[in-house]
Amino acid sequence: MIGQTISQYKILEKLGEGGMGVVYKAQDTKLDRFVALKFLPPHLIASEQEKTRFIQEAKSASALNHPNVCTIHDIQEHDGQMFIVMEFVDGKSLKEKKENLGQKQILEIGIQVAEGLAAAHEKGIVHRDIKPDNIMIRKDGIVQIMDFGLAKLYTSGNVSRLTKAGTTMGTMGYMSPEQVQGLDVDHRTDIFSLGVVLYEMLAGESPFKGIHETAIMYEIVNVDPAPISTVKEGTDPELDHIILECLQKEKDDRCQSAKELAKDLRKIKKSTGHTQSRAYSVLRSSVHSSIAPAQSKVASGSFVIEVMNRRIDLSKFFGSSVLQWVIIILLTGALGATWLILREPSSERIITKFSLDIGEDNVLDINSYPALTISHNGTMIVFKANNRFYLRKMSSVEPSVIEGIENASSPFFSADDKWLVFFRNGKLEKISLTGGTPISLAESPDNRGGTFSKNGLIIFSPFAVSELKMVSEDGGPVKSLTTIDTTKNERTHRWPSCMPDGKHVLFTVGIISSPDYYENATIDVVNIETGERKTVFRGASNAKYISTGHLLFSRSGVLYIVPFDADKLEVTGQPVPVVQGVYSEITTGITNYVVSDNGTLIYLPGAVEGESRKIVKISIKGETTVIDSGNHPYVEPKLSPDNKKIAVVIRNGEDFDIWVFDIFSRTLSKLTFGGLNRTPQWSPDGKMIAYFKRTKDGKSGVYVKPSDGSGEEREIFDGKDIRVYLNHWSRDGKFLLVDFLTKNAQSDLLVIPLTGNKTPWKFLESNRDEYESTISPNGKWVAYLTDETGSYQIFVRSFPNKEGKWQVTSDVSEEPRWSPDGKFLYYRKSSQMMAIPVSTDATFSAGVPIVLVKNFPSQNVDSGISYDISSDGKYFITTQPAKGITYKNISVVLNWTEEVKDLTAADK
Amino acid sequence: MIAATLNSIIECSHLFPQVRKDELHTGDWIIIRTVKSVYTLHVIGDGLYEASGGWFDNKGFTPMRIGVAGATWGGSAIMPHVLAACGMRIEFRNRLITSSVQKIVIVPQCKQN
Repeated sequence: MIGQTISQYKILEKLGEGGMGVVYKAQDTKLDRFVALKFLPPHLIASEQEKTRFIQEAKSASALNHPNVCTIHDIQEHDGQMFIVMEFVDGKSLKEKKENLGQKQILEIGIQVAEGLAAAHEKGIVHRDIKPDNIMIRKDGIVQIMDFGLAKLYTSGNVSRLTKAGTTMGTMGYMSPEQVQGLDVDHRTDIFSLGVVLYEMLAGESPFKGIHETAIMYEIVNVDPAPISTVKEGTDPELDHIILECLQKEKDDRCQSAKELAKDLRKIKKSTGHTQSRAYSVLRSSVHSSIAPAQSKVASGSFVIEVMNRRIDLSKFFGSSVLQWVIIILLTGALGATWLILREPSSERIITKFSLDIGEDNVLDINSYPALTISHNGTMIVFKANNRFYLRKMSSVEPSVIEGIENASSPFFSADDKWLVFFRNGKLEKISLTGGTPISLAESPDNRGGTFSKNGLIIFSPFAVSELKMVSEDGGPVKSLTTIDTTKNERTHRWPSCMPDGKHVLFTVGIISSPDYYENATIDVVNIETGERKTVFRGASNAKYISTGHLLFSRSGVLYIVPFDADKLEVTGQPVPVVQGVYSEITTGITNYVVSDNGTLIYLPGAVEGESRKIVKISIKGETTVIDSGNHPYVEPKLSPDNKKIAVVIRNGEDFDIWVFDIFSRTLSKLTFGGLNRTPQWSPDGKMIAYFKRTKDGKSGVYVKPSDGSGEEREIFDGKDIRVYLNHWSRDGKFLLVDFLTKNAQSDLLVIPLTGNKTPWKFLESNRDEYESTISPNGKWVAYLTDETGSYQIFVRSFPNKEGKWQVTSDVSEEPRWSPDGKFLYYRKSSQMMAIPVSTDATFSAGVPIVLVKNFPSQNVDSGISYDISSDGKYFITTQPAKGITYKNISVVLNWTEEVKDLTAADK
Repeated sequence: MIAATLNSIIECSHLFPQVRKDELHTGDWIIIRTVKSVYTLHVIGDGLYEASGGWFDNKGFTPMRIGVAGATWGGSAIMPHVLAACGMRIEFRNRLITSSVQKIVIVPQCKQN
């Protein structure tokens, strides 16, 4: 065939071959252009009638004529063989190219595909199979959509056919939810698919990653993809937003037309690089306008200036001698102005965005505490990595360790930026940034953030269920600033942030009925002098006031601004999202971001914790294997005694339900239905699961249910409206250990006997917290967590008679568990999994702790044990962010408040 | 016998090159001849039709209440607003794709006074 001329087409080379026939590259000798000829196998078009119909169909399809759609030029017959003459696309499919594309190229591809789709949609045609294989990028940069309808024409002959039951048209992974479900589709299905393609190109991974088709289908219909910025740093937040909008499950919530999508993408493309180049263009135009007129005069003998693009010849208005003086004055002025412009920094504040590398071997510690802060003057950033604080001065290239304060958390700067304040080993402390040793200021068993007021007061939240306290920057008596109002369902006051007036503090109020969910928290403000308090915003956490006159707050990993009257302390407008993909924890309300007084924003780019996590297995040597990457908001995994199943809590908004994951079949079965169901514990024979339940109407208790879901749940302890978390089901099956919240918001330990006299009895009660208890395998000892020393430490008591008491740890620790052989106690210390050898026979003794796993995934809930140990003691199971992100970078936006001003100005 | 009758209706009726879904009213009948069969669709509202003829008859499902996804060329591309168009195929909601449509006849509902 090659070398032959058919009609006016000279066959040059074979491009491909398949069931649909052979495709050749050919030269159209009449029109002098390359074309692709697709020869259809003769057996597919046997009769004259079929030929006529084929021509008719090809003509219908070729009605679509657009630069971004591969055009069908003609259809002809040669020696009884039908062939389609198509546009020759000299390039590669997006599937081949997508690995090496930059954001700008991706935008360009997106724009062109959207335009091609818009043309098709205008003619009422929906592609239904938009995917990288069907998008070609020509060598000249033109992007074309292929396979508009004809490709599968004849694969089944000319008979009616019903495709395989349960199948749908399209390619799995790129299909819209309505396509997957076999519902009616319209043009918005293509918008969804294009959204998937764009997501994939930007993020480098699909938004739906199920391991088999059913799992992908489930995700397409039910799971919202994570923002791209959580996967790929530096993604334009606006672009991220647009793509996520394309991926909305409901058609009506999506971008409504391809035309609109193209327009939005074009807008982003136009603005890309704008902020970086703005300063230079300002400078260049200033210099140009100052010098150019004078130069023009010298060269031409006339004096011409440009005003608003209109040329004015001044020599027509002044005599030449006068003009000479004018020129000298103007020239001097212009040179002076130029010198000033070059010497002085531009009055325009340049928005600069960059990612700050925290050091090659460093990983940020994000264990439910703020991991970073910036000084008020914006010159210093402090972050926590590998259990130490690092100071990164903007004037330095490398961060340096702040010595002498290991195990500290939640740093913030003093008002004059000379001190760093933080929490460490049960104390609020400060250290001079010019050197010295830490100074203790107040007791603080744990912390939920702190802030420094202009007038030298430190406001802080000392533990999870505390009100706000305040203390002088020099220490001294600690006073309560707020009071938790339990009649209003309040549980905690946390994440305080001083307003610039030094008088008011913004803080987050968490509620009792959803202790691990802060999307419905409120933002209150309190007057430091009068204690007067008011709610200013609902449905947010972690608010700060910024100099543009806005409250900045977080919700679901997105930062929003809302206009705020700082005098009246009132919100005066609607919230607007400004930054997406900020690491945050729905379960604690924390979001890692800070804004300096001079407008620099720093934040930790990342996922929303409490959203997508995977279940992982971590060997005692630290090797991680993924058990399930289902991307559910997994919490508190517990292995069945035979290590074959995992009881795990999945959060769904305010509801927490327990599911059972079968490791072998990789299936999830729901065990509880609605309300708050937490802290599952397997019975020793694996047949039952016990858990805490709080119903929607506030009733709470401990329940048991067969682990296979067969049968009703049964209450075994009436919690009488209080929070009861299950800690451990003893190995002999006789006891359940639980911690419960007392009326003064502290935890005590309770034993629920499961045999004999079943009356529960208090094991430990005090005016301190006791929780996270665990019974040793031989049933003789209970390890638990308490703050009786002022910071949270692990202690061991004999069981059940409480004889003797041993303090096992000296650093802040949490989540103790016994090894199955009873020879070790495991516990978390910051991001490390520790192991301490113990003897538990006649008496108890503990050895020296060692670091077992260096970077153990952070927990993602306020309370509850977040890991478990296999019965053979060989591995842990826990959950970690689905994206497997290690937090190694901090995003910095210099003069970010200028961007806010631009944004709000555009709204006006 | 019925197919023969329908064919004769088709032969002596005004033919439509295509028919859009929104042009039809509840109670309308559409008779469609494809390369292989004859289909009748009775508009019953809410995007549903009572379909008979062709594949539905062969399978004994007549009449079947079903939606129409749109008109296709047999591949993925679809015109969802079009019920049937000459030269194109009909894709039903159950993923049944007919052979190419050759003729379309619309029999409007009988209006009652």
